[in-house]
Amino acid sequence: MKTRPIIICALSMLLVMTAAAGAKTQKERRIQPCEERGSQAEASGCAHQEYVAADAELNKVYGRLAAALDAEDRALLKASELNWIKYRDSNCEFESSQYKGGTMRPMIESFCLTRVTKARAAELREQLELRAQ
Amino acid sequence: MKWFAPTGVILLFMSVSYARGQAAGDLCREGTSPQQMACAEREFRAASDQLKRARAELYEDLEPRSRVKFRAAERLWLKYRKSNCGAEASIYEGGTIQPLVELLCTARVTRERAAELKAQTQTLSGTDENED
Repeated sequence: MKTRPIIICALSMLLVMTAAAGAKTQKERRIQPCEERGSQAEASGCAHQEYVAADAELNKVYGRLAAALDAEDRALLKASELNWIKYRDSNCEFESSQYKGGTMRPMIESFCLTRVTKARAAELREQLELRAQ
Repeated sequence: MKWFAPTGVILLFMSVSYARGQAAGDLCREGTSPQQMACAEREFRAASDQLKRARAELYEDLEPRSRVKFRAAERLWLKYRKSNCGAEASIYEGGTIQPLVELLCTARVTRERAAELKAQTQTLSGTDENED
């Protein structure tokens, strides 16, 4: 009877250590507000909506910058935007490839697209401000 | 295990704010033109070294399938960087400041990419032990 607490203690320690080792190999990310939705389908839909909003905002900034440029510079902006789109898609496909086969993958891809799109909007906004000076 | 997520977010935010501060164009604007160019070259080399380290660390953690996708993304990122910084500097076309603006843009975009890859490594490993 006396050895029982020791066995339980040892077993629970082993359990904790195994869980910790498992957690270390697991993918850890920041939990986004969309993920607090009930199902994975809802979370993915929410993430997609966020991306649609970020893309609409980028289009607005791009339109304003393009309107401020002469034809030659506008052509350069357009070429750089096309290259950016290719980088964005390829980068987010890479990032979400870690979750291949999982139901989370479309959501992870949307999170990536939103993040990269917001960064691009900020970049173009800076250019717009510089040119307005 | 819970504390590293906020730490990662703060680090990412700090690096983004830093990069944005540079975009405002307050970097390497002192001294003569050659001094400014030398300053921009130092900035670019430092950013480039950061990116090389971040790239190598991430690559090590990837499965073969993801490595192929990563290499493709890196190639397309290079094209984007070149055309973006060419476009950004085009307003100064013909001016002596054009190469400076282009190089500073290249340094900034490179630093942002290094931060992006670093964040990706942290996501994969679930720790910030690789943080330097």
